[in-house]
Amino acid sequence: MTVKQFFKSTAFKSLAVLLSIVIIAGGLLAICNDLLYVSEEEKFERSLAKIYGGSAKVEETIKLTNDNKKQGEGKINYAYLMDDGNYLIQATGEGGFSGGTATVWVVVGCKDKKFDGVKKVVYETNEGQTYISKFGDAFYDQFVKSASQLDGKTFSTDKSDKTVQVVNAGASMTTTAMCNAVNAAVSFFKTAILGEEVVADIYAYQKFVDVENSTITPDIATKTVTYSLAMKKNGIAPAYTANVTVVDGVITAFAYEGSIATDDSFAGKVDASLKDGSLLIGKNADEIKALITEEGGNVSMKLPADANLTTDATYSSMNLILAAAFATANFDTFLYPVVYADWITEDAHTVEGTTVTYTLTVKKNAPAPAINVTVVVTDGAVASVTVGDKIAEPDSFADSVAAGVKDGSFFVGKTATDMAAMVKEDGGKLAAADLTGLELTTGATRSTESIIYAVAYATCNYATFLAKDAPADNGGDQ
Amino acid sequence: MNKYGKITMDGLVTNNATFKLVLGTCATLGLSSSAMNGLGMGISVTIVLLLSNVVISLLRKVIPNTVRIPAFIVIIATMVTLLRMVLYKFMPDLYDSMGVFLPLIVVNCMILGRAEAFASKQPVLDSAVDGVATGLGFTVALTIMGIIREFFGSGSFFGMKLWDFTIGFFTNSAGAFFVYGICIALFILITDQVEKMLRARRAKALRIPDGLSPLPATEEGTEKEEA
Repeated sequence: MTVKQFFKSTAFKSLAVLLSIVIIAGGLLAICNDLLYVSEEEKFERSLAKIYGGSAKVEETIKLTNDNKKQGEGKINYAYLMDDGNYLIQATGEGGFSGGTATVWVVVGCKDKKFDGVKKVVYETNEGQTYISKFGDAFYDQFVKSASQLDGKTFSTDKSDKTVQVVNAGASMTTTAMCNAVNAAVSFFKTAILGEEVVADIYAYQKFVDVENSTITPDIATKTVTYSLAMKKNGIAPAYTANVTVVDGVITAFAYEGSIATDDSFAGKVDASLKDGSLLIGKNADEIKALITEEGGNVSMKLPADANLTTDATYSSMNLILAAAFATANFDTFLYPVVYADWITEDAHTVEGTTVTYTLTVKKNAPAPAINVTVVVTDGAVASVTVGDKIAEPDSFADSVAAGVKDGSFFVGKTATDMAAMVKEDGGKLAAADLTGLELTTGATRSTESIIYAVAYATCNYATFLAKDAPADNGGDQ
Repeated sequence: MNKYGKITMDGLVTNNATFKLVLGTCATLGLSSSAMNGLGMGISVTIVLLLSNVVISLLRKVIPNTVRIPAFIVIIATMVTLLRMVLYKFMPDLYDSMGVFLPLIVVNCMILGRAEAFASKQPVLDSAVDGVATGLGFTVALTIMGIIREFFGSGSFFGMKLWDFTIGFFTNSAGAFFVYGICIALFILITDQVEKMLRARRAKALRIPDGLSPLPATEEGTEKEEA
């Protein structure tokens, strides 16, 4: 074919016409995109009009940091203090359909610098939520709750005592994302704006387990922890009970009670090796963890190459693995529970025979500074206590600490029972028990409390550390 | 009935895309949960149908037969993208409520079907009328389904709350299929009855005795009779 023939051929004509159409269409769209561009300011004005139905003024834009942007399973995009004293927060909730998100504006009520409930929730946008057209005003009205109605509860599709149930039948995953967004906004308000402390999870994988309603039985003699775990709802997988036995950190038995999927057909799709526990039995914490990946706070499934778990019941399969993960990851914590650890920032202890020697640092207990304390416990009783140089702020207050506390003589011979009677924690603030009878009220109360706390930690955890860390010939693990 | 009347009746009733040809089912089921959604989607599809039919009809002699389908798709996709931009700028609530179904108009077989079967062969005005009629047929169908589903599923009419009693079934997918099936059955029943009625009236007007066809006899038949 010559060049002339090519230019006269149907192929060239087709190519030219198609290219022309594409170029004209592209040009048209480019021009229209510029003409119809919606700026961020315009979007915000629209949202304000939708939320407040009229004029509303932003008093202050709240600065977001990397620390406070992420809230649970949601993310904060914008936060403003409005002229009515309430806060307007845009939050994106994760965990929607097909791993997508939902973004909403939440008006969080603020009265006298206190949380005053959720005043309004308005939809903004979504990613991959195909059923978004099912969500009308009635759905978002479910989030409007007073502070007393919420009272520490979070929004969820789950109906339990600790949640406020939000329902949109047939679109439960998008509903979950919406709940996560609103929960993130409320959490942001409480922690970043009001400055409330976040109660961190004590155990690994705790968010998937209702620990309060679970039964966990440790047996130090046989190094066994027996769990009956009340597993929470995970995505669309329902709540169920997992019975797991872990011996020396390895799963020896695994079974479940109740329904692990929304219906029998989905339960049937869960791999047999997961249902009978054979995939999990014999595995330790690291091996179970290898079945799971955690991304941005979301735990997703990583499938082992040798197990066919690629079924249509991913959430149910994942929930079974999470029970095993919780049981193995927290094995040491449950078998060897450590008490009075909240105020101890460093613990380097050694075990020799029946003696445990602790080198401890107690957290700053303002105005008392962080204090270093060395405690030697033999046969369950305090043998000696050595207090570091810096025990008060300013140093002059060190003179007010009782001599017996400073040189440790006050504690010698005291047991776990004696020390436990002297310690109490009051609303997150360390406070020793009534010191009057002990004649320790000397004008340096906080420093005294810190030292008492260190000694209580040493004596009360003596048996645990002796069992856990002593050489094998003394009955320990090693 | 003149040419345009026939095209209009064809798009609205005789070949109604939703209830007769069962085209565009994805959007029909997904966006008929409320009357307003149905109406919004219907109007959007009508606009895209009108514009794409006009452009395709204008270009029908230019576009080679071998590349007609990709050319139609590019034209339809352009129209849909334009519509998205306009809706996002001027009607953001409707844009949000339509969600993923708005870009999915591109692959609505009804639009490509009309482009292929009608606009690529007919003059501009005919194609425009066909686009509007087919779109209106789709709009009416979606709005009717939306009214039924919203009435029973949410107890409201075009967003106005009528009662508190609701049947959740009507708002979910199964309810959509159920209402769709009922609507198709009723549509066929009504159109059949009307057709019978019209045929009877026509027969009466021609004074043809009962049992005889109103159609003229074929030449072959005449010859046989003569024989």
